[in-house]
Amino acid sequence: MLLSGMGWMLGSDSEVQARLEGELDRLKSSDPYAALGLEPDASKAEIRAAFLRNTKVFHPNRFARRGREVIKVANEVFLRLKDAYTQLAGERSGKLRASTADNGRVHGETRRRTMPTNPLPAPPPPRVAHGSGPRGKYTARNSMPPTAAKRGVTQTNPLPAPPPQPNRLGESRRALSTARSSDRLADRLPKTRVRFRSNDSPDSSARSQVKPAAWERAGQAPPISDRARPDNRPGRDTRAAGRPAAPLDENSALHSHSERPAEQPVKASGSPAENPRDSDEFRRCLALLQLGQWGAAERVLRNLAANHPEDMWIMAHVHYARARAHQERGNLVDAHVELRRALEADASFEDARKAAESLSSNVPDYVYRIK
Amino acid sequence: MSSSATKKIIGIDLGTSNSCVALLEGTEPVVIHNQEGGRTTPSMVSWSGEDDIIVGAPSKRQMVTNPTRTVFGIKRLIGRKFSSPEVQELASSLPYSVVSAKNGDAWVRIDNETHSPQEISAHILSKMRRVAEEYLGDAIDEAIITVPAYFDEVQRQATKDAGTIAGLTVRAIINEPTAAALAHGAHHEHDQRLAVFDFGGGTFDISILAIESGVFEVLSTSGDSQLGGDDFDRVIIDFLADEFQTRNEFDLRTDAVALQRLKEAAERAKIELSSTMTTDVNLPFIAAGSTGPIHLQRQLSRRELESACRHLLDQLGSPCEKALGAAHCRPEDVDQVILVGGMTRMPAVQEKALDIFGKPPSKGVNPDEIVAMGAAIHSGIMGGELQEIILLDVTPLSLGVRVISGKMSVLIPANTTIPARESKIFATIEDNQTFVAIEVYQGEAEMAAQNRRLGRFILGDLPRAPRGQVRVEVSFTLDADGILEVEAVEHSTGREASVTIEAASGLSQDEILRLAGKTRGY
Repeated sequence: MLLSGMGWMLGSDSEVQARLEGELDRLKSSDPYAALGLEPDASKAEIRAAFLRNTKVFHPNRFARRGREVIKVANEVFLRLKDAYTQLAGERSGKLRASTADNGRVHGETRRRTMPTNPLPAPPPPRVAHGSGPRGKYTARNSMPPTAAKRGVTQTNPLPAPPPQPNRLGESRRALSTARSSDRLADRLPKTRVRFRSNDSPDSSARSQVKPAAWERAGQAPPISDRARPDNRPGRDTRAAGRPAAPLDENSALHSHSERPAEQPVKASGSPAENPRDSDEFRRCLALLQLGQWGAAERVLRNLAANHPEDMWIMAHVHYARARAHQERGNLVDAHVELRRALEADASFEDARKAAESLSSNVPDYVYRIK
Repeated sequence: MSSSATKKIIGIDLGTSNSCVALLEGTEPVVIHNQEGGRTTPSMVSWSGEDDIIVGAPSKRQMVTNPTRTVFGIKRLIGRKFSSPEVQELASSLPYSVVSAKNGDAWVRIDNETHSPQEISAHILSKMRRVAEEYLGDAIDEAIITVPAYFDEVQRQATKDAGTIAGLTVRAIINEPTAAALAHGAHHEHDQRLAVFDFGGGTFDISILAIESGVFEVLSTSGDSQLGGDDFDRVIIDFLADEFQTRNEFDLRTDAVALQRLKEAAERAKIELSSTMTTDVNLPFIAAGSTGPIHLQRQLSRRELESACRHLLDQLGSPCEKALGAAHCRPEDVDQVILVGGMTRMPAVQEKALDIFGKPPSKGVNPDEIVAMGAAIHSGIMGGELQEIILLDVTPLSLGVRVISGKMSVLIPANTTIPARESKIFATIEDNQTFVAIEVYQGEAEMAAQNRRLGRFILGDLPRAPRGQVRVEVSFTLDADGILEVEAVEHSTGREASVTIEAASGLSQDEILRLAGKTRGY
């Protein structure tokens, strides 16, 4: 039907354009079958033949010597025809469109998939005494810098290194038993040394005593650890509006993460000589993480991190706890960002990597902010 | 048809080593002889004397005596950055000097002047244009130029600019293997599936096509834009020079004239070994030793060549597998294998193709001319002479935007039929994020930074909301000419921004016009 009388193709640019625009209007109001000039009961072969027939007439290459406007309309016409065909034939690009159109629903589904209610086996019964062997290893590991510590485990161990997941699980369980056996820790720990400077966390008690951080004085973007907040209520970030705009550099979003000052803006008083990872606090955190009490774990870890700003391993756990808290609430974007920060702090953090992998396979992509 | 249609559009195969021009007579493509009588023209440009520019066979003849002012293989530099590893590797083995332009592009320096690859390519295109004009006795100002399928948008645009500098309106840039398929299948009535194995001086491309009722549909394309006959030459050069160095304690590669002679001898030996089992490399007085002149005389066998080049031959397999996979094809589904490019004359390459596809390649195709003939066929599709065929090509490389952690999120994947339109929804990553930067990249690497950056734009005035809650829909429209339109819309406010990306080849419009005026002078 469309192909009868091809004389129009020989007309002037404006005649051809008018003819193509008419075709475009027709396609816009047609279902895929009508678009290709088919009856609704057309067979696969008929669908294919109709698409090829139309392609030969309307492909933009046929109009390559015409004006730009004509070529543009021809492009639109062909895209409609291709669309109709992919819908009927269920080809590659058709499927692609269907999956992106569903993005709005992905969150709810993802949450159900990636957040099983109890991903870990029930914690073992409390054991007060743990063997000196593993305990000794644990201490040795933690007294080393994070990367060296990792190597230390595998190097000093004559047996093949255990896979990281069970290993950490074991640590957590040991920590858990400590936590269970000494409930008084819960009363003691969070109250000590809460000098962590935080504008936004409601539980911060020492905000007013703190002088402006280096980045604030210099009028720069805040370091990442300050920007990440435990909740996601709108309008809480009052700094965003007043933040000076940096030049539009392609990498600035990345840089603002990686150029994090080596030091936390405020150092809290404490006992830095003590290895934080050997502390009851840290073990309690691991226990809380084990129990899935992300918020509580994050609060304790945050205090710990404030007192030991140089410890990237603890920093990684802070971000990890935040990520899981976000994930639980369905804030997958934030979870993603925090997991990335956790991995930036300690690239060998297996739990964070696994969580990030399971998350990224279900999350739409997120565009960078340029500041 | 409109008035311009009365004029011919020429098809030019702008090759790494040789170029070829063809045009349509009636419905048949005809390859045109150059003034020297050759059906192909060496892609060489040399400067001799003050401002004398020589192109083609005469340039090749004087290359040995004028090595630093003779440019060959310019196609391997076009649209590339000087700092890229490919250019760095190449530059060290070229007798002429490659320098970095102000914008970072790889340019060529001849004496005290620098020249862009676009300009040098334009000299070759000008020559091809003159060849056709002399044959027709009429002016020509429209052309279709072929490029390797694996060229990215920047390289394509640079080639287009070269055409503009040569005074041509480039109606289309088409892929070499696709052109070969058009030339092969234009006058075959029956439906079939083709594999085009295109191995030339500088690149290797493989395309799988289906021909169905006159529609040439490219199913997939893959390749290696840094693998070509030049690499085989270099292996032979190194083979001979290393041997010479151990015997005579002199590195021939440090002497431009010796290197040039060696390169010529290597290429000749490679070609001869396609038809004979042994050949003689004979380079008298190649170096001066303490006891007098040293000559290079050696017999080279096909076996030696093949074993020295084994690693290059082995690189042919994986693009073929990729292309078959992307086309959802098994080797036995391919009805015909077409060999294109001078390197396919090498028996070891033919064996490799036979190995991969399990069938002998089609005979009766001239691998040096078929691409230009295909470009001429395409001119008939555009000009209306060939109503019964049409080409549905694909984009060889993925297009996407840069997202969180520097990754590339693909909107239009490689091997999507063009024209194409795809869209995807993105979210903000910061609270109260007021704008997003849409950065467009092309390539297959996971990290955006390793791909080719095509452009960027900003969608601003986003509503203030917590991170992740502002959704921006980005859509890409890629037209048949490879022009990409990018559009971003925030749905709740209806804010939108769009940009048309025509990859910049590194030359501004003014520079192109200036060079066009200069080239016309010759």
